[in-house]
Parts: sequence; structure tokens; C-alpha cells
Amino acid sequence: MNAGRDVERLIADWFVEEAVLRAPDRVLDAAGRAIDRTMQRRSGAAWRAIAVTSPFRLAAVAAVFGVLLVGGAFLLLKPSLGTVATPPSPTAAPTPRQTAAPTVGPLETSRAGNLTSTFTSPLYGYSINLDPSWRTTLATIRLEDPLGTDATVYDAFKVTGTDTTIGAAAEPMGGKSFNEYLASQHTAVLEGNNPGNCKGSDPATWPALQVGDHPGRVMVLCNYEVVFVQAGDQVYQFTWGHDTFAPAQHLTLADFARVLQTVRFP
Amino acid sequence: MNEGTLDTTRAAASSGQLRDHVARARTGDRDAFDVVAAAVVDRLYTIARLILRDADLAEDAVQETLVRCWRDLPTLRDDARFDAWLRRLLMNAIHDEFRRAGRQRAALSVIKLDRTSADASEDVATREQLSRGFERLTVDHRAVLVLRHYLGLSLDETATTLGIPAGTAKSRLHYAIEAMRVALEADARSPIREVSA
Repeated sequence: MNAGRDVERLIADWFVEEAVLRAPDRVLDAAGRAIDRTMQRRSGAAWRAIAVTSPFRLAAVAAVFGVLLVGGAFLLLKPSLGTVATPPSPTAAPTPRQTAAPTVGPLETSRAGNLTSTFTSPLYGYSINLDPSWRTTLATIRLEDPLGTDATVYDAFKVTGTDTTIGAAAEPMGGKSFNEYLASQHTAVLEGNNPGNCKGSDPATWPALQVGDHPGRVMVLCNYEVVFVQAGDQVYQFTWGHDTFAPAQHLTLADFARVLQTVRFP
Repeated sequence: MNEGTLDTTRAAASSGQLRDHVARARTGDRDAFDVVAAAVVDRLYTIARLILRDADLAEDAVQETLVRCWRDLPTLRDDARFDAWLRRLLMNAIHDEFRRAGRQRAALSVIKLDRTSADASEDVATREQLSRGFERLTVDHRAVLVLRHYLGLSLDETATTLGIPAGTAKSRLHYAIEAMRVALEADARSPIREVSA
């Protein structure tokens, strides 16, 4: 080997010589067969990527119809979420509408179980009380990592006896104010491929919801909600998503709010 | 992946419409995913083959990458990052294959070196030295070399692909290049010795 040779140049040239530029056809064939047996993941947290296939649209229409029906009953009964709170009045911040529940959950007994088990997130540092029977899946990639997927960036808590999964994650504010952050989240929804009737409303109208001792704001989408909370220089997201459009299978919003009351921030 | 349409699909996939197909594949459109897979399979294989230095392992890594891509595509949070995300899936699959193969490799005997290589041209000898040096690297160091010096990614892009801090990518790159340099210089100082199994 001659002294002084540019090792990096040698390596780069060697890679070009060694590169095999075409994969054998059997790779695609084998992958195709494996994919035929593989379901796509559609986590409850995948609110930016709700499928818009025909069966989905049908289910969405059915769900909206169901919500309207239950909503009528709800308005007649006028129950309220005990944890809905008024956030501190921030300067130049829009005042959230003090409505009752952001959407309507089934009016039935608590499914939140016994919130006796404390979970502390290794990645995000918050703590939350859970029922010991709930299945927990840890986030492995931070929320701000652009290569993360909803399956990997959220701590996920599958609520036993329901089709609901609660998700939790956090990311830095990135120099934005809280309201600017909320607006950016809403923009992401508007630009996403959610069905047209699932785009959420103006962030100024998002209801308030207490998360631990912090005020949060709720983005309401079809069959799905995200609660945003600022704690320090982080924004925490808590998601309420479901495997089906059957409200009777969901953890109720009141129970979701009860769970969020147990959150403690680092 | 319909049999008989593969070549056509591969050709069509190079027409610059990959983004549309990715968006459709996210919604469960299998035909669109076939186009995406056909468009990316060759470059995935090239990278996997370079890093793993083994055709069978590379095929398995690419196949696994495509399956994971299909499975997790609906949850990708930023369509614009599809390429980078796919590269990370590939790196994870390569890591898995390398680990799996390592367990098998431990049972293999030392490879005999052919003494005739000492008589080969300098270029051939250099390639053999590079090959031996590269194969002594860990998969992490191989990956950073390939991403940087074959794909031409920046250090930041390399770090993002590997899911590591830029400083770590830089130090891995430095170590890998030094290891290759040492391998080249060591081989230059001493003639190739035959190794008995």
C-alpha cells in the first residue's frame, strides 16, 4: 500500500466497484408473499394518516351518525366533564370555548379500572396512573424524530375491556408559543389525508381539559382526540384513539379525563 | 407483486411519481405499494449487499425492510421523509440480519487466504485489503462508511438515518476510516500469510 493514498477516496471507489445494482427478482416475489400475510398498522394515534378507503368512509359516516344520535341525548341530559378546566388567561391567547365534553362518549359506568399502578415514561419522563391490567408499549423514538412512526413515538396504553388505546408523547416547543404550536398541529391535520369531515376546528375553539396540575387543550377529530399540554419547554400529547367506530367499545371521555388527572410532569 | 408485471413495474416506478404511490400505499393500496417496492428494491439491495457482504443476508434484509415498510407505512408521520425513513428501516433490518448471522459465523472456521493473491495486480490486492479491513468492522461502522462514502449522505443525514447523534456518527466514521487505513497499511507492511483452519 502506498503511503499517502487517500483512504476515503479508495473506499468510495471500492464501493462503486463492489456495488450490485440490481436485486434478484426473487426478493420482490418473496417480499410480496410475506406482505400478503401482513396487516398494515393503523394505530389509534395515526390521526395524520386515517385511511380513506371506501369501507373507512362508510364507517366514518356511520360513526358520525352515531355521534349525532348520542350527542342529541347528551345535550338533553347536559352532563359535564368534571375535569374540564379554564386555562390561565395567556396574553393574546384565544380563550377556549368552555363547552362540556369535546365529543360525546357512551354514557355508561367507568371502564378506567383501578388507577393504582404508576407508570413513568423512560423516554419522556412524565408519570401516569394506570390500571395494572392495561398493556403498556413503550415509545422507542422521540416524537420530534422525523423518522418516527406513530407506532414508535407514543407510549401506548391499551385499556382492557375496551377498544381504546391511550397514547402519550412529548416534544420541544421548537421556539413556538403554545398557541402557535397548536396552530401548527391543526395545519398538519388540514394538510393530511383525513376525511374532509375530520379536520378539526380552529384551535381557538378547542376545549380545555385539566392534565395533572396543568391546563390542556383538546383537538377533536372523528373518533379521535389529542390533548396538548405545555410543561416547561415541552408539549405533551395524550391521545384517545380506538380500533373501531363503535362508541360503546370506547373508554369514555370522562374516564379518559380521569386518567389524565393523574399525570405528573417532570 | 403480480408475476409477469415486475419488470414493467420497475420501469414505471422510475417516472418520478413515487410520492403519489407512497400516499396511496399509506391508505392500503397494495398495487401502489407494489410500485413503491419495485422502485426502491434495487437501491435497498445495493446498500444491504455492500454493508453485509453477503447476498443471502442482503436479500433477507431487503425483504424484511419491504414488509416492515408496508406494515408501518400508514403510521409514517411525514410523507416527505419517506426515503430517510425507509433507509432507517433498512438499517434496522441489516442490524438484525448481521446479529443473526453473527451467531452462525461463530461456528465457522477461519477462512483460508489464497497465496496467489500476493502475485495479483496492485489494484486487486488493494481491493482484497479493503475487503478484509471492511469485514473486520462492526455493522455500525460499515453502515456509516457506506452511507457517507457510497450514498454521499452528509453527517447529519447519516446520523438521522442511523438514529444517532451527529457527534456519534462523526466519531464512528473517524474510527471506521482509521481502521481501514490501519488495515491497508498493515497489509502493505507484511506479505499475506496463509492461515490454517
